[in-house]
Amino acid sequence: MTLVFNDVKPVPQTHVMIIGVGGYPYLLGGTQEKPNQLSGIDGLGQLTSPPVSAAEFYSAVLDFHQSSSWTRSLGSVELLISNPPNTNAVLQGVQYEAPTLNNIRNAYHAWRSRCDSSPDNVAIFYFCGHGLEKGEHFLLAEDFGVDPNDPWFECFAFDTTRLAFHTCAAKTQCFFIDACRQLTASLLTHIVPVTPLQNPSLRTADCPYNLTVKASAMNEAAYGRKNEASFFTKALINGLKGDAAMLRDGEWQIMTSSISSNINELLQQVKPSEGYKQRCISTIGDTTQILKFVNPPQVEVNVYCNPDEALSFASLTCTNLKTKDVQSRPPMPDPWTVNLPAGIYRVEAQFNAAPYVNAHEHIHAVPPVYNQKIQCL
Amino acid sequence: MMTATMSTTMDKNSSLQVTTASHHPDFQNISKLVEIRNENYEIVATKWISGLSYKSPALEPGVYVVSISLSSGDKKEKVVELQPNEDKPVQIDFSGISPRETQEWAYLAKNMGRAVNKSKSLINEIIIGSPVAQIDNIEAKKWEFINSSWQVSGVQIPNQIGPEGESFVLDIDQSMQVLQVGGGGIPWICVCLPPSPRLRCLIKPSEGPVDAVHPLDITVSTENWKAESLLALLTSGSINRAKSLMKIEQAERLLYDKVADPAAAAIGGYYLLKMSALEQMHDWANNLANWFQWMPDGAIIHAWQLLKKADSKQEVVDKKVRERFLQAIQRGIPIYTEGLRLLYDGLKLLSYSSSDSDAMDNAIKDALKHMQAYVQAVDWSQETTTFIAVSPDQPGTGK
Repeated sequence: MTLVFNDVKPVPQTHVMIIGVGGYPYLLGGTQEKPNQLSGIDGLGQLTSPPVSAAEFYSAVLDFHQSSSWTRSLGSVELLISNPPNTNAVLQGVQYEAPTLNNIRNAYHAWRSRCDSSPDNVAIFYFCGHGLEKGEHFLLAEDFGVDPNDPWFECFAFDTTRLAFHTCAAKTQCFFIDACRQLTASLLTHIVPVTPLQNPSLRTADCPYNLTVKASAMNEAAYGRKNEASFFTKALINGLKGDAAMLRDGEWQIMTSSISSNINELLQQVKPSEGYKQRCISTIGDTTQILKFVNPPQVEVNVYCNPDEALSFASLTCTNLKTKDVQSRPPMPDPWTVNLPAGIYRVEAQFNAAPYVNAHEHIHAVPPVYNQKIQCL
Repeated sequence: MMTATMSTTMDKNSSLQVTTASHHPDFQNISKLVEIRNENYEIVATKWISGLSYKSPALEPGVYVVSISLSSGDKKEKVVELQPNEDKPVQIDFSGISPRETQEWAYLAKNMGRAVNKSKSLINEIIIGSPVAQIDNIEAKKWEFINSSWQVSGVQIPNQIGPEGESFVLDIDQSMQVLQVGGGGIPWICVCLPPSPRLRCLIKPSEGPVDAVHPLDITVSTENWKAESLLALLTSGSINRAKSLMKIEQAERLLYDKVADPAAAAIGGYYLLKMSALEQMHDWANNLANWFQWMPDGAIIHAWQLLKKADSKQEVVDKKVRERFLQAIQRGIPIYTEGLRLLYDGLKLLSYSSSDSDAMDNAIKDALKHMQAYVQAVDWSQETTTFIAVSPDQPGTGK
């Protein structure tokens, strides 16, 4: 059973398919490893990040459902996850299935069929796992390598699948692919069959609201820390949760273009200390709303004084100019970190005695972090 | 009732006089998005301007956020307090954006594969990218596609590219042309050149991931700044901004004005395709393809216009689409990366369509194979088609 959420109604809805492949039994370190027979597969092995990434994406999808944030209510979620050996299941109490090619294919067609039920449906596809590229982005299913004589059978041609999905009636189609796109030595010496999950047809015109985001550029890798969600998935979730939100018509909205135009900046924000090793590539058509929030997204505001010593004598306040809500802090030696809804604030430092002088600044606090230094001399 | 109305009218007696500044005269013509938000976080004014100043409508006294966004992704803003009866000057200065005045056009108008500053305060900035060093012994060549073969000629550029980069101007006439830069141990990289009597070029060390991107970043731009800004926004996925910069009828005009500027017409055509504004393309994509037979982009745009249109004469359409895609291949390499993507996707669709019949169309099969080499070598983040190659017809081999 890959359908882990089913609330399909005869109205336009959001239908989601999530795949996280971490356990590859036939690759290096797998439970049925075939190292000698699969020597040409360039050392591909087990991945700890994809199951966590898929689980976190799934949790975010449900959070949006619970907060009624989906522009089109959540109708269904297909979930396929495999864990590497000796790791715990990532979602307790959720009965998901292994992302074998057959399961992926079946889930894809079931998901596609639901998406096809209305042009106003929103289709969301998420994949995290091994990927390789040679004129086509190949995504590797869990059972990749089951037949050492034809190891390339258990993968699917993503780009062609994406092209084929344009025939689906859903006008909003979002695909998030968190996988490497490197050309390996073995790919150079193999002719890999291009097998999509569905064949495209010449009558496939682009859907109006296409958003296809890949976590890496051509010939580049996607990264993540062990046992954590990948950098791309963290960035994507942060963006969807509000870091990419824009205020339109009184609502905080996530548009498809909010993700495409911000994804690289979001990625840098989740791993600023690790340089700039990963570039996302987006393909987008026209833009449309997929999520909406009543409340503004949260911003981490850090308030400093100049000179630093003034903090020990400063009574600090942040006043939201719209709501008039006031946050305050008594004098303390450390900078003040406060989480605030995005908005325009008056940030003020008040002193009881010289040499410091009362001072204020107006700030425009936007996600994820805003730093403000107040001149107090 | 009357009192309330008068009070409201009297309240709105202030305004903001926004001026933007930069060193280079090009800034005057480059599109900038002005947005003004009030204390309630509502947008009270928004407008793309091409001059240097903007006067807001009458505003109530209060606090306002004034922001200027560029198509490069850069954004600067100020929070200001507006007093009653005040016409407050707000200056937003972009003059520090580029290390050299002569390169400002690239930093102001183009995506350059770098981390842009969307931060709102100085200590909010994140320093990203490796320190850039000087790159020596650089050479450049210009290739032209004449009678189905690539002819090479020399181009004079500085042979040292310092951290700030080097900029120069090329006169590119209406033919399929490619700038190739490399040498000195660096793989050769090719950039397709849109026609322009004053095509701006900037070559600088890349700020992208080391060992992943080419060491050199090459940015080119015509002086049609509005079309170039639209291209930058489309490439970065900023569709909302693209839509506010250019209405459909303005893009329609770009396509209409193909004789004056075929490169801008192609940008307009790609935008209209993206917006599915097929009727507004009229027969002008067909004309672009027919009248500029050196340019692959017109053929690609026309093919996709036909593909996207539902038509009862399906076989006729399919034949024309096939013809257009093969024409595009014969003409060289699409100038714009969007064209390359559409050409490759179109050929793939045709290959599936023809595989339904007895045998796969050999011409399409060959074209797809030909394009696969480019697809593998291209940098998809660039606006103009940019790929590693020892010569334009040998993509993927830079050394």
